[in-house]
Amino acid sequence: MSERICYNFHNLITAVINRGTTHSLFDPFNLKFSFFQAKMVENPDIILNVREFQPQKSGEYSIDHKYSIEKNYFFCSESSKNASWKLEIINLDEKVTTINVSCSMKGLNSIMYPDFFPQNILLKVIEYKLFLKGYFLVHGASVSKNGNSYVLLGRGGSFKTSICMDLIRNEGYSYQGDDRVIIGPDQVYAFPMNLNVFAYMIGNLKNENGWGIVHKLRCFLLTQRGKIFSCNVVNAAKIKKIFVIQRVNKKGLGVNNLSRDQYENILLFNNRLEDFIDIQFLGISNAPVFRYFLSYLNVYPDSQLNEFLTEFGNKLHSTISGKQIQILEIPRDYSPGVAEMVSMAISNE
Amino acid sequence: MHELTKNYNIHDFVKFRIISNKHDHIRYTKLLPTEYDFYRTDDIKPDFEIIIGDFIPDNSECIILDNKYYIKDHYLYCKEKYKSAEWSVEIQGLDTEKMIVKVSYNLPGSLLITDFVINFLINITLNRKGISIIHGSAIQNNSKKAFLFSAQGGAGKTSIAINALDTNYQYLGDDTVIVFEDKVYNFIRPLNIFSYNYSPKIRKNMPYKKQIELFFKNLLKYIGINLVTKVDPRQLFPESIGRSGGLSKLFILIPRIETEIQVISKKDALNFILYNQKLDGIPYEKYIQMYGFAFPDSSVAAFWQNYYRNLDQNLDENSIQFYLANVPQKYNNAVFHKIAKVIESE
Repeated sequence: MSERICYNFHNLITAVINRGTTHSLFDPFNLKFSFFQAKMVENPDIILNVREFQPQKSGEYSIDHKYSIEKNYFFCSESSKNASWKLEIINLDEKVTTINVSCSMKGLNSIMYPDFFPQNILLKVIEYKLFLKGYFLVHGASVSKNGNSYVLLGRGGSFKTSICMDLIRNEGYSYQGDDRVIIGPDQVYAFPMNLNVFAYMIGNLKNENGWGIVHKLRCFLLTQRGKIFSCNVVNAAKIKKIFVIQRVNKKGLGVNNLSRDQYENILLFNNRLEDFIDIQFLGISNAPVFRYFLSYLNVYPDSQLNEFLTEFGNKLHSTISGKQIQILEIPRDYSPGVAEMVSMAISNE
Repeated sequence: MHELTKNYNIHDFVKFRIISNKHDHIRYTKLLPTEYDFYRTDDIKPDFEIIIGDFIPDNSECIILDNKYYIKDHYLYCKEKYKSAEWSVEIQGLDTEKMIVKVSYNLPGSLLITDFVINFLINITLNRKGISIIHGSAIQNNSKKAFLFSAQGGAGKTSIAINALDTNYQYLGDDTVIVFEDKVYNFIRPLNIFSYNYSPKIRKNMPYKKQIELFFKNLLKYIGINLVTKVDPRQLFPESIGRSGGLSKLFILIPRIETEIQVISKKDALNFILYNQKLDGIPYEKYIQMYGFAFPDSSVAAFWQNYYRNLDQNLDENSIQFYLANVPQKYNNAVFHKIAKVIESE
């Protein structure tokens, strides 16, 4: 029994997930790329197989007794506090990349999000492949109005999601993404993950802090009864302004302008820190994918991955050159006034 | 008697002090790190001072990242968890000439603060002073020529260093060494003893208590519990510890099916060393990036660029030869003979 799910990301990249299992109850939460689901895709760029597998190669090189590496080949078998996994990445630098993952998790997360880990690997590979094409899957949110896009970058806890919710509810903006969006030449492309959850939050919560087990359960039960949570998404719009949101342990709001080259590091670290953070809730905090990339580079220092890990910031920066970019300081505690301020910063000429 | 203060001096390159807060005397002193005890000294003017014990952080006016990293100018505070270990750390004067560091931790956390905190402070201090630290082992011969083996775990860097002791080489370190102006300086830390590096020489000198410890830990392996046995090299081969030597040959070891040693360019070698060090630095990479996100033009943000620049300056291609050595995925004695041949050739 298996299932094939196809995804088309704005015709920039296509992917297929082959799962060993079929539809599960929690798929509305488990499958986070549903927004991009397509009936079929021809010649997918990425094939993700989620099931038990035997590694194709024994590996010419071995790093740390754990990783088998060959040109365009990576295999590892690892475990962390709440999860253990086997991962094989084949032909990362070719037209078609194949990822084989089997992962077992402990705890509640394994029921609600059984495919979280494989999808996280997919997300990193999408980020890498988009980078090679001159597109940047950034860690940030984006809202749109009158054909323009406004990107809000920032680390975790900088209320990107809450700001988006209030900008959409109160200030007439539309949604493009609250965790990742794609920045290309001129355009920002939407990248909603779990759009149903965001739509539920907009209708039912004051801000992101309320998203706990009670609402998760309620959202799940309502979805089971056939209720569909959705909201309007602007697929692509012209890039207008970029803000870096910084939460500060003091009162009041502030705007900072940095010199242009300082933004390169911000843009780089904002994305790479996600390697440490975005699967932390599975008890994995040692950035496995970042380590895999570095291990591969330890054998093949000249590979294109090098550019990805070091040049992401300045390439992205030259792509958005000429657009306004600013630091926005927001207070420690969130209130709708923060979104108002962001709205003012957006409309400030 | 547990001591309250420990001073360390690593070749005058890094000097630091660990102080156990009085109120927490009993709770903490047993847990004071012993990793750098080779460099214990009397009194120093420290580059950084680590005060161990509960503390109240000064978080006013900080930028808050990921809900737990508090950052302002030359300041970082966070409370971390890794498996069952927990610790909190506050660094004042981050990347300045005088860092004041407050740390508190639970029992499992005591095992991690060496890697996650002290190692970070040593690395950042060396980087600031233009001194290189390399993830690798090193030995030197009688005429004080040093040979360095940079590698990830599992490539045999410890085995090579230990093997070399049987043929009159001196030991400079098995995991990290310091390099400054073409010279390798020892960086002596407790040696992890495994079955594969348990050489006759080590067996002969291993303290009785440690032998028993190793025996039981080996038994535990059969039920899937892996514990390392750490022994101070001074107990094992006190007469074979060298201090520093002029770097003559630097080997990058990468385990591969085929065994082969080839000359490579300095530029290639630097890239290998850089990625090797980055992998070794993953425990503190988050601090670099978090601080770098808040202060993008700080020297912390440029940590790896500076690391590379220092390497470039400290390794002169006119006096050092660089090799890429593909070694078997399972270490054997033939590896050392092959490498010894290259070492002894002119």
